[in-house]
Amino acid sequence: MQFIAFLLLSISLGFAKGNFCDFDSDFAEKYMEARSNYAAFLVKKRPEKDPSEYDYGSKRSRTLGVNWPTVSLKQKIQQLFGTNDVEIKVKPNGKMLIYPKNVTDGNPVMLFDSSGDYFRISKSKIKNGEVMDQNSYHDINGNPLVMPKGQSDEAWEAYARQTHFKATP
Amino acid sequence: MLFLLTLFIYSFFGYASEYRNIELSPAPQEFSQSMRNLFTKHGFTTFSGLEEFSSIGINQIFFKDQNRSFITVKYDVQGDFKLNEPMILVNGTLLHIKIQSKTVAFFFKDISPSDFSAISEELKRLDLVSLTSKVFHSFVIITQAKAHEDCGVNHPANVLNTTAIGSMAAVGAGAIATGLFSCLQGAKEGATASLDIMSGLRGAKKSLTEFWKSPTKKLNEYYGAVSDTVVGMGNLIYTIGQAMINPSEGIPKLTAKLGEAGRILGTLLQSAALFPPSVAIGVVCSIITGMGIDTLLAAMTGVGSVLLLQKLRKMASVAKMMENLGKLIKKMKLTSLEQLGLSTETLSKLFNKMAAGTLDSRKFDIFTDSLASDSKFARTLATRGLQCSL
Repeated sequence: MQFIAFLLLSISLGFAKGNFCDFDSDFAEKYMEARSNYAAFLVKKRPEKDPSEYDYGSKRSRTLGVNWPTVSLKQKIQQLFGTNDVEIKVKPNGKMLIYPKNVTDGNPVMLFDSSGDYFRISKSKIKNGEVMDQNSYHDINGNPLVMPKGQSDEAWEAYARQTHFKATP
Repeated sequence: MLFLLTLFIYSFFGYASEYRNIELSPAPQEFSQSMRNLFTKHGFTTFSGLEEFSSIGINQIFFKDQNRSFITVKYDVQGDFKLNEPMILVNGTLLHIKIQSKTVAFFFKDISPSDFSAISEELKRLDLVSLTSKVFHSFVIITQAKAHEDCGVNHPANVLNTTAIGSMAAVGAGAIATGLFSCLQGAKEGATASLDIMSGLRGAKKSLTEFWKSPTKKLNEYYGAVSDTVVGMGNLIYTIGQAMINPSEGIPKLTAKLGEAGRILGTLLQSAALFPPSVAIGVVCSIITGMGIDTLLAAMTGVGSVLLLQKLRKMASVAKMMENLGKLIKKMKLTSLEQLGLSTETLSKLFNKMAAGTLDSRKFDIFTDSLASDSKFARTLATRGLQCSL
């Protein structure tokens, strides 16, 4: 009995480590690709300027991000999608779209900004078989939140605090 | 004429004399310590890695003049030889002295006449004062104090007790040699079981065993083999140390000696030198393991550099990876490797995988880029990813 329990524990730990490592390894690779894309994106956008002047994602994260909740990216992925076995699509602007492999139109997806290490939750839009996001904004549980328009900076910042999350790996 | 006659007689004794066996007899700690004190007082250096060089049946080795000259100590020898009389062998001079009821053999290789004379006299006096253990102990204490006072010799165990980043030149050839010898010893003791770098030394023992198929264990042959092995090891370690300390001089020397293999090896050693000294030694150990110390020793003695080149070419990706890690260390201006969040265990695994050529170089580049990032997220991710890939 003890042996079986030990065996089961070993197997489950093995799987856990496997998943853990697969995700970290895969994510690290995609993450660096995204950062590289972002650097190129900045140069392409304003070739005559210093890229740091247009480093909005990073600036946003550094300034406003201090008030954003800090959330474990991996735990959130597990919680939101029920699995760590996800697709990670690196975009030319340095953002990463994270979604479960069986995603359908309108499901929650995550949009990770590699320049500022924060993410927000959006909804998927599938066009010609390609997964995109709807550029919608949601709270930490994936519930949609309407962006305030024409309001003060304070109102936008309060909104951002509910829709933008600083990520820990 | 008299000198030639003496030389002939000594040479004759050298060829005729023999040991009953060449196996190592462990020496008491107090004896080893007294030897350390005595030889360090005369400007010799000992390496912790060479305490009990059992594969060649030697208890201790003391080096001088950048490892070019040395003295070996073999404790408790039995056989056919004369006590207190120097024997001139082909490769050096041998002296047997009774110390505390045991006969000890001292083999002097390329030692200056003045050193030989001073040391042999002191060894003979050591025999006299050691008749009672009380006197022996007081002698040990006196020589210990004198060694510290006169020479200021660093104890080898303390030299590399640091993970701080610093230039290899500041650490010095002696400390590098100490580290490498310690590493060899560590491998022998199984502390770093994956580094099977003692294979070369076992190879040396094998060749000695070949000698002893003959019933006559001639001292000239035995000390010839001891000398070749120690000289080979000393040269190898000295050359490695030089290439790490002063690449602009060391690498051309290696290239001149080993050709293309020397150039590649030099580049690897230069990269290793970018690491903190204590880690650099581990890296070099891994490199040596990757090639096999026997291959390296053979190449250093003028044979088998083609085999060395073949093995080194397989390590090209390692050179690239080490270069990247070196750049990372410089870029981040690290003062200790712990700042990378990588444990010593992880680093050891990393270097072993690098040396074995089983680490994906593309992934490794990604991880080093991430580790150099200004983002804490990236660094944590890279550390985890790296640990996972090991």
